[in-house]
Amino acid sequence: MSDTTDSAAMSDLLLSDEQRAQTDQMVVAMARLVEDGDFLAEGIGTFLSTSAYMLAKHMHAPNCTSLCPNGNTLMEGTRALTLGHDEFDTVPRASVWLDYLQINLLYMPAIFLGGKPRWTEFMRPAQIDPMGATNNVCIGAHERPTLRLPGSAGIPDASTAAKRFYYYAPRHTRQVFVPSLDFCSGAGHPGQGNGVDMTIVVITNLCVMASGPSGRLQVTHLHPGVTRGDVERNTGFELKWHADVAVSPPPTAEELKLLDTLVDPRGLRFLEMLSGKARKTRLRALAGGALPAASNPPSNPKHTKHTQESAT
Amino acid sequence: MNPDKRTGLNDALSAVRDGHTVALGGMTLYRRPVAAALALAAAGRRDLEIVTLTGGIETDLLIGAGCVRRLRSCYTGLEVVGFAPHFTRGVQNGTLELIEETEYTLSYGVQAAAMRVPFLPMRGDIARTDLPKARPDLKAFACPLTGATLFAVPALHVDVAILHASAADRFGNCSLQGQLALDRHLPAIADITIVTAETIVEPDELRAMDGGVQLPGIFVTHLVEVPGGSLPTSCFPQHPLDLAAVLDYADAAGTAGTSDSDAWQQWLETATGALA
Repeated sequence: MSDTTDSAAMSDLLLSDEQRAQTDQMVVAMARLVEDGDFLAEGIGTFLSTSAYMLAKHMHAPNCTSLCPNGNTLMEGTRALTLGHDEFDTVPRASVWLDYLQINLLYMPAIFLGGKPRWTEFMRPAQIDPMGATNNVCIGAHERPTLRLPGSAGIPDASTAAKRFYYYAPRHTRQVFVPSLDFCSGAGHPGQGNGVDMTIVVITNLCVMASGPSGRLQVTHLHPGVTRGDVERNTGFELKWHADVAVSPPPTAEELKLLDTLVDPRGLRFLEMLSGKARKTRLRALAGGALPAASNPPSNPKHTKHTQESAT
Repeated sequence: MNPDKRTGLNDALSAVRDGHTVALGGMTLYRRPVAAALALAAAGRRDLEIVTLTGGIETDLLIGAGCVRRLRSCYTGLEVVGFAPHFTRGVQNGTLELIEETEYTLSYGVQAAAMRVPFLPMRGDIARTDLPKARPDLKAFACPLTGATLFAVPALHVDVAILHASAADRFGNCSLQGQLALDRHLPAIADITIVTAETIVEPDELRAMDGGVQLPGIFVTHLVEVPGGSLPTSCFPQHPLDLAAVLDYADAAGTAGTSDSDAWQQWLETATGALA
């Protein structure tokens, strides 16, 4: 990829300046929730959270271990975002390479329930209710939905085991923030006095919310330039407000430079702001880009992936 | 018996019968047995139950070709490209039965089947979601040791497992690269295991590969050399995901049931025709 290709692609993000600024505001808000030493679980195609993890590793949290689902590898260090080619970056550099039975039966129960290492993951739900419960399964009745969504993957498992749960919603709307879910695939806060210790944090393009004393979500931060009215108009239920609502610190010049140069030079994170035709148009433009070099046969000699030495 | 497992694609897939439960290896858009799925579609198999950790293009095309009665997965979609069109439509109009799984329920079901026990216990906290309502076959019971409420996740036995391996030797020993998904465990829960391999190599060459032999040939019944058999999904390290081809698929599959449904039929005919 040449620099000219990148800048040409960046100029055609199909987003307003305001939407671009909101994207980076969400990324830095998520990155600042990462603590050094965290176990960072990535999604696939969840570019905002992966950008946030890599930014945090470049800034204040260099000792985090990433669980990369595309290959199920544990990986130290940073890498640039790819459009579906993470295997080519992560498998050769992994410390450990696992399959899904090992992850789900041997690793995650210890991490979720044992609490060590500290697990951090940001998931993207289709619906969120006032207690922070979420839906990624369907809109309408489960037996005959008006819209079937891809599915819940591991969210039911994780949300009923972890004490701290992060979500992000790149488009804060009344369709996302609903008074009651069509299907609950992510457990919400069980409410006061239920013996379950849980905090849910939601980062949107407008604000940050977290479980309050009653368990209901309350707004803790407004992003710069956003008003209470903006948030209330776009939320389908009555919101609680923290007694002392802060303004989210905006991205610094250093953070923006890291995002645009080392973390995400192709601007893949902005895809999460697009839907429908605009998203497909953008994907078509990006799909024409360079593919990773293929090699044949599988890497040889044995265990080259453990050495971190590049064969090329 | 003949220890050499090599055969042709159509011969191997003739082991799959209408009504069979078929587990597909790989994950979403990574090392999927796409050529094998296309061959099943071309053969006109019907009433299959597909089992897959996450469904991608291979599952969606089988649904679109009318091969699938029931699907078990915890996610079916095309990742960054969006919804899997035939899956989405099939669930919405009631022509596809979906068993709502999670990563844990599928893992427990596979592990239970491999252990030949009827179920494995899952922590009762899952009842904080609607999953147990969608899955009446997950029976709640009191733990005989602690009294805590647990759910019994039934063993998940399948008739046929179909995997695409990065490489294999003629005895069916396999090298799997990149995303391993549930692949190493599927042959132990299947009566028949069909492997399509990117390449067939000598046994000593296979053992020297990264990770060595990850799937022993003892469970493999049929082996077919199919270079590019995962495309457009990836086969690390030989082939990256071909995203443009997945976008083409989504466009074509999205037209099924509309006035422009020729585009889907044409995609299917072209793709199955390329196998011949």
